[in-house]
Amino acid sequence: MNKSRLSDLYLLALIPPAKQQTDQSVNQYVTWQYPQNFGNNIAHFFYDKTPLEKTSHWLTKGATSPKFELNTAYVAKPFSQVAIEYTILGFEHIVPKGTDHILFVLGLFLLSVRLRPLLLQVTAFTLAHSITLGLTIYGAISLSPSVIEPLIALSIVAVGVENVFVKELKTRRVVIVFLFGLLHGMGFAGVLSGLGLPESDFLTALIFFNLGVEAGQLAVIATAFLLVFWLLKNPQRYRQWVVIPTSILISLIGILWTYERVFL
Amino acid sequence: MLSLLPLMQSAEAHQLRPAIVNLEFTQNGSVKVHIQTNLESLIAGINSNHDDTDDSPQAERYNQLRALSSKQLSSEFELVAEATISQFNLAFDSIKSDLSFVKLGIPERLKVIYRSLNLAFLKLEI
Repeated sequence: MNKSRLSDLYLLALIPPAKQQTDQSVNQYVTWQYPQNFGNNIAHFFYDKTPLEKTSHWLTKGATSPKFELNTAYVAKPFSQVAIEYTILGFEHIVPKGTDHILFVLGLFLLSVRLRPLLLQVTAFTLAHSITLGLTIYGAISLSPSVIEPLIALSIVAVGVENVFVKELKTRRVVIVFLFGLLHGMGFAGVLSGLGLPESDFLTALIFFNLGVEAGQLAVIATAFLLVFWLLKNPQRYRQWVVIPTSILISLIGILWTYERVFL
Repeated sequence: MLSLLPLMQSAEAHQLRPAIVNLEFTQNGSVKVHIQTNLESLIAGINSNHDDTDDSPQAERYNQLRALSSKQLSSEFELVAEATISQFNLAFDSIKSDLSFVKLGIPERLKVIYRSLNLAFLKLEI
């Protein structure tokens, strides 16, 4: 989406001397809290000598982080917690945050009233963006957001325009959707790496973020279906009332974004 | 078609990304706190209940701040620095510690003015 300016604020505190412990098993602990009115945050706790062993917490609504015990060995987060956190992050990246991905998926939905074309397109898209998400996160490929973002916007224009002129699925469409999926995957990777993926839970986080993205896509399609299913029995009317006007609107928004992302 | 209008609006607004907070515990007994965030929304005190900044009452203030150069934004932050930093709560054994300011890095502004002109035009069109 539109990039807002990110600034860096550096602060310093001293670790107070640990109190005389009567009970040897109790360690000094730290908590972090960021007020709700400043937004959500992801807190990474780590030692300077082992910067890769991060204990990360996703904190919303001004929540205080769980206790981080000092001078204890690093303990990885339980699998289930990482899985849940990253599924939610992936989902949120589509709904409500990924307006451009929502429009693209809506574009796919609008092509045809039948299930097979939709499944083929969604499969091509999912396969493609999973490949590039993985490759980008692992550093195998990289492309600047200034290139990816306008192309993603163009992909929205393309599916919208094709919906107006083409009524059914052609092989060409599946290939195009696959190619655009490759771009969207790189876009997802940009977001995910921006969040600071925990090194220790890298693969788990990656897989569940992707699953969250899929769930988000399915939610978009399900919602779109619920809105229009009563019209599907009359394909001609559906095309005239829904497919063509919505596709035109999607394309127009895509054009605007392409312009914004290239020139502004 | 109307159902797409809210999407249109959120495209104009600037999604608030979560802040990334790095808490680095050093061997010489200090904690280096590095917060990567949208400083404009921090200063405007935009609430996390609003995912889109245009929905929030401080939107005007936010948009004002966005238009500032990095130098100007830095001076704006200086005015509220103490109050802001005091709201971060880094606590050792539940006792809040004193965080001191080290430095600030602000990238130069985007072409904010052109963008808002363009968006005003878009709103008229709709």
